[in-house]
Amino acid sequence: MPESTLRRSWIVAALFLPAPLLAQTIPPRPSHSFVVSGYGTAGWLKTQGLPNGSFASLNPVLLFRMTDKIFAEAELEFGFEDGGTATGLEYATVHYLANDYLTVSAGKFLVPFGVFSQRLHPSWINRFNSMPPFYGHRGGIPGVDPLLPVIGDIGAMVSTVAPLGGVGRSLTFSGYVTNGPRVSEHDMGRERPDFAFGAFSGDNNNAKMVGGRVGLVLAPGFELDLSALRSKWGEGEMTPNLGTSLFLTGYNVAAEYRPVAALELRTEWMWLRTGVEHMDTTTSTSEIETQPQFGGYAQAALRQGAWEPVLRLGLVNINQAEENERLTQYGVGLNYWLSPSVAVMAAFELNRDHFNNGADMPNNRFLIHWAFGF
Amino acid sequence: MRRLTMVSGLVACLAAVPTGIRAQEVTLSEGGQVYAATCSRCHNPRSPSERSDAEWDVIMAHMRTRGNLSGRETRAVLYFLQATNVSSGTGEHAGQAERPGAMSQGPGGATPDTDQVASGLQLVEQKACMACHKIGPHKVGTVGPNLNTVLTRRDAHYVLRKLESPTMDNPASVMPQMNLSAEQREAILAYIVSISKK
Repeated sequence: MPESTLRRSWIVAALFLPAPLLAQTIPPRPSHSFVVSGYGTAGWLKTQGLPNGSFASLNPVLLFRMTDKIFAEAELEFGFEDGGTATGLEYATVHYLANDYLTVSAGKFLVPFGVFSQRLHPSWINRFNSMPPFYGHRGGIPGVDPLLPVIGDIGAMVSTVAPLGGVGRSLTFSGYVTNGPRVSEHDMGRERPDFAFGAFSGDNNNAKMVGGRVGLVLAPGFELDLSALRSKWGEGEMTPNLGTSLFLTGYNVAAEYRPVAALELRTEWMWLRTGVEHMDTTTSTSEIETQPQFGGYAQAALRQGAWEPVLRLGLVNINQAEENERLTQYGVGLNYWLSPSVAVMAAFELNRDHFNNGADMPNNRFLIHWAFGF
Repeated sequence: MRRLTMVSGLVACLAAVPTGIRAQEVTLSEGGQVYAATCSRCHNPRSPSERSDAEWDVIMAHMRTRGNLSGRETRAVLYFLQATNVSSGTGEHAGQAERPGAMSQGPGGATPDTDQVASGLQLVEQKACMACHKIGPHKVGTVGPNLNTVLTRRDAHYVLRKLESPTMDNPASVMPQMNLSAEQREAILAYIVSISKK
């Protein structure tokens, strides 16, 4: 398309933009504009070869509807970690509900890379009582690096939805620009660094992360989501690391299928490519190598009254180039629902860990917890 | 620059959708169907009586942004939650505001069966039972059991008790407490009997 045509379309659109945005008066604030919601967990776990332990967390979600069009939300996190109390800000986002089909968001938000981390991670929503192995954040398997590179980040996002006709059928899109990753910890013995995102990580290379997710809800019980992200990353905490050629690319496929109301089938798989600098000590030269990673899970939950058995298969391959850097998980769980948002969940994970020079290290776990949403 | 121009132009076009499109009305039936279809994408549908009408108004803004719902879907679910929310007392269809079962009483208290069935049908439509159940000609509800065949699995007494107390045999049931009178429960049962597949 010629540049002049693009300019003209932008100008035409801009002429119409002020009408809905400016001509309307600010609607009055609803009578009840502030709500505290959220979720929590309390439980016990036993990991093979490790002392047993208890855990508890509370995640209040603060919802504030300022006007009919402006909505703000934040999720706090309180939990036990390493013998102390850990606090965190999962997200703090302001949304502008422009019209029925468009929402513009800014702040720290859960990055829509896949579905699990943005929609399914709360303990009362996740049917299995631990996180899939790729997720890691709180509940990750000891000694296993999470695969998911990003949960929340700071930036701006545009979300659109196009109804496809019929109840619950739609095509959705979320596109975002965020600060992107920087290195929080880089043990030079490991090729892939740990990435940090969010409020205190900033953008140390002036290279934003861009990404998006397309969701296709073909029927009320069938949704397919495709996601991709692309960013650059750099070393260095204090000084900007400009012009870096180290990159992070990710692709994600997620699907949900409910053949009947009582049966929920979910799956999500991701492929990551991380560009890392490889030093050749003999020639004192360096080159960028691509480290491929892969992982995901498939899960089935069957609701029978208040009871719900769950099965999960999980896989994490930290470095596809190395055969012995993967974890396979087989999990079986049983939930008892006390209300639609309160459940006692028990599960056993059979974790086969091949991270230590090919040795098959069992890392099996039993977990039981009480999950509640409010 | 070209990409930026395209993106900003697209956003401007989407934002410029006329306000008139937003003013479409939603129905209780549509609301119930969207509630059943969209909430269960991620979690168990919550009972309308868990929150006040005003709180649902705020919460649905959260669900719109989290679940990529359209404005119309959001309004439809909100309408259903508020209309069936007996705890709030502000719902249009809440509590005893409508008593077609009682109104169908004829002179001397005798209620013809056909009137009772008609009252039951009216109640089923008012309470949007078809949002979650297959019932009569409505085939889209999947959250709850099929009410066209329920009497092949359960007896009439069970149906009456379930209508009176939805959580009586399942504490996690998402069926709203409708606060139906005994006459209204009998009317709904009469309708279910009339459509039952033996």
